[in-house]
Amino acid sequence: MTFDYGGYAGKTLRIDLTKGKIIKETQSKPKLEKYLGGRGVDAKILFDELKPNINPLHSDNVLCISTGPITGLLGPTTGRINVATKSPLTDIYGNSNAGSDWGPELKYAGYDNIIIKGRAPKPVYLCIDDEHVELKDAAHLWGEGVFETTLTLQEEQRGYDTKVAAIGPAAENGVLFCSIIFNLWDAAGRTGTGTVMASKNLKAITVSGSGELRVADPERYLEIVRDGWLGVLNDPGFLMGEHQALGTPICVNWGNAQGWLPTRNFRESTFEGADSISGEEFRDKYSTRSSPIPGGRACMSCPNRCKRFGRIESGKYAGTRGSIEFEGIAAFGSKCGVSDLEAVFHAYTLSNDYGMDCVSCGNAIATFMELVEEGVLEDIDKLGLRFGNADAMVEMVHRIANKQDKLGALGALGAYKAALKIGKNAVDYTTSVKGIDTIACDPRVAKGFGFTYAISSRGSDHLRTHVVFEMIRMPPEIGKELFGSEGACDLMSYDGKVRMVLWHENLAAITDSIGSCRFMHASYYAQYPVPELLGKLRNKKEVNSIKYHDWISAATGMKIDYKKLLEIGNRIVNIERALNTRFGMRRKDDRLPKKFSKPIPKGPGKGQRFPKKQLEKMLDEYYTSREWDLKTGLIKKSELIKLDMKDVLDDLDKKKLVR
Amino acid sequence: MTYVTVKYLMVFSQITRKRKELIPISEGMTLQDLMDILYVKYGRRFKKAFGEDLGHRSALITINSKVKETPYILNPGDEILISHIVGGG
Amino acid sequence: MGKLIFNYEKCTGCRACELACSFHKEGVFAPSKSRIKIVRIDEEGLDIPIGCEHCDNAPCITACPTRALSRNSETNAIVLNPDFCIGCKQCMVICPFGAIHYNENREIFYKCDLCDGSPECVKWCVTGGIEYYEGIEEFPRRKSADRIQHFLLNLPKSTRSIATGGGNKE
Repeated sequence: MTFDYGGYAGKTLRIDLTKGKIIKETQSKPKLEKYLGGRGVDAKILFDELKPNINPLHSDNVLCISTGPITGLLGPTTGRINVATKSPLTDIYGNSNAGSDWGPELKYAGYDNIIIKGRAPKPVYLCIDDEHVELKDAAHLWGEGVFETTLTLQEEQRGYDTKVAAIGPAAENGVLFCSIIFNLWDAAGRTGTGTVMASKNLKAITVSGSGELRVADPERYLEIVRDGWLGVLNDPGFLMGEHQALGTPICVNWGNAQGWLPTRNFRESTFEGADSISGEEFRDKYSTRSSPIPGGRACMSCPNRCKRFGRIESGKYAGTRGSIEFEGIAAFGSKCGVSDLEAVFHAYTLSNDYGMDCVSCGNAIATFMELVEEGVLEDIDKLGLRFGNADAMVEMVHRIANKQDKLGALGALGAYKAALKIGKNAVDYTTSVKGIDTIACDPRVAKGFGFTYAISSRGSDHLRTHVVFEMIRMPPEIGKELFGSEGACDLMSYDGKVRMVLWHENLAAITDSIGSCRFMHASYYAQYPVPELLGKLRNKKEVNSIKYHDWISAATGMKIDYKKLLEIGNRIVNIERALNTRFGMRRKDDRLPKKFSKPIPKGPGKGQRFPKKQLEKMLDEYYTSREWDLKTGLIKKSELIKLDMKDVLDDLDKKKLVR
Repeated sequence: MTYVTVKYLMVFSQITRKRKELIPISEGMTLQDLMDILYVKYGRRFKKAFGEDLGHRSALITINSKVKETPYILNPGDEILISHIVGGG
Repeated sequence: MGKLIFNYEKCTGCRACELACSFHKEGVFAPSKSRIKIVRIDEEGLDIPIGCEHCDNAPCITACPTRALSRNSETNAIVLNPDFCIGCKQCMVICPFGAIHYNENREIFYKCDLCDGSPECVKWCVTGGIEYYEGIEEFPRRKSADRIQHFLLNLPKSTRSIATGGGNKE
């Protein structure tokens, strides 16, 4: 290994598709010190190399795919891969993240990240086999689904040892919210990364690697990693089987019980048919394996195994099989008012095969259903688009993917752009923030989630923070200690939520950048200092926890402590903000859709809403803590200097984009 | 005879192998009495799954969508939900 | 006498065993240098651990022309002596399990030696996908009794480990 820092593979692959040129570059050390890898480095690359005003589907758009310093190094949940680009769906910073063993494989092949520019003259795929990297003809794959593409490429190369990232026909057709799908089931789903890849005529990326990765301090590293594993295994959430029992679909019934399961396009937040689309139902009817983890599969080095594999054996949708996940169930299920799990599973698998983001696809259909019911949109194609009509929903998935007929073509724009095109007051029925539709948790009940939707750099999304803290009955003492208020532990309270979101946002930036998973610092709370605080509360002598700062230090050889870790997280949030500033995002864009200021009609969250006034108050507090300008939302000069981001400051200053 | 409905979520449905069942109750029966019946019926593993040592992540029992303490006296037709506390996907 | 047991129905495909093995044996993280392999069949949602079964009547020992492979009487492991190995790959071809790996870059074979009776892969397997039994006789009896118990009590197989320990080994 020639690279100075351990953990990293040390090389960047630069692909110019227009010229068919492939360059292997050594990683820049200062950039890694400041942004670590993954999401952080990707955002910096976009800031440096992307012209802000281009059309996202123009050949000049940049597509970054990155791993982090601890990807593939035995730590718990180190199989993530980050994708960033300018999003065709939102026209701002687009970013998505997937888990599988594709990322680690890329590192074993010797590369930390790939930067793709240009457009190939004809369809190609990128084949990475250790040092042999080439662009190969993909004529025989163009138009094929994700499954066919992946399996064909595996057959042509090293079989199961070849890991494939592919796009589907929907992306080729220009549906704006397409995903890049890794190893058949794992999608870097949101913000239309797949559409960008298709616009570059790049059908797939195959990786197989036989290389090795070294860490800076092997002995200490192993100790820290073991501590991290034990931290996860002994976490109360893990012990009660949060994701092991049913995977993420565990949230269907639970969300319904707590009253935040979005139903009929967020009209309500409890669904009468929740039990029939629940994780329990999936386990009992469709899980392929009964013992001991029904259908459970994991990403690289992950004890959590949150994916669930199942198959429909008989009936109308016989043969449907795949990995299922909560967001998709909610998007096609409760949001569309559909209580037939087979139809939901089928629609889910279809959108996977077409290569579409199931969340955006389900939201688009749900929005159309509401618009038709409210008389804003005409059911032009006579599909019977009404909440609860499973057949119409499945038909819509086909039509959107193929841009077939009027509704299909509209749906391909995503809920928000479609609503703009429909005109009238259609936008009031969407749930979009910054152009992307809201995921499956009603922000009127979960206030921390709601605030996150407003401020997320990629638009309405919970994964920028994943503030599960408010959902899991954390002891109030810990809320007080960490975020200055016991209200942080109360789902429907606003107190302490801004500080809670800040901490989570910084750490989430870290986990995305080093190649670890969100579930470790939020969901299980295995990250320092929460296990320590919990241990103190219960008088436990020995406490295990994940310490990302020690972990990164031992892997790479950099010197990072907890304070510096949060500072890096802060820097990554700021670089994304700087990027979005260039795309024209200001304070006015940090908002919640109109829909959420109306009260919830029934259920445990009855009467709850997220008033605009409250949001503005929280934004003031948030901007003040971030040192962003209160009026415009632009970053303050002093903050950029403090975070050692002089180059970013100079650039923004030229365009008068700092205060 | 009067009944209450007990719904099992997550691992509880795995242990009991049921998603819900009707349990007959007698007058004045408390939630604690019901739990004692279930502990006997489903055994050690069921009891352990409540995770009393897990603190904030121990099991949650709600009756008609509200959290109730064990001295609560059951009414006919009550819907009892036994689940864990999870968050986010 | 020890034996590694591969339970494909418990494996989630996390490949921690591969990394633990390569790190323990070679000091690096590299699945290509691991003695154990997980074959991930994504299309069927299956993950199958493949490693050396240390057969009593081992075809690899018979096939080896230079006696580079031999049995360690203490651990019952079949071990490879790289000094004698000429790289003919006969052992690789004849192994019914595909448990011997060859690394093209370094022209070296990788062969499980049971880590002198305390296999590293088992320590990192949280689901029980790989288990190590000192007394192998006990294993089939226990498995069979489990099955009968579940049949008699009409319990789902899956209750065994999830409910109590979040899926940890019992």
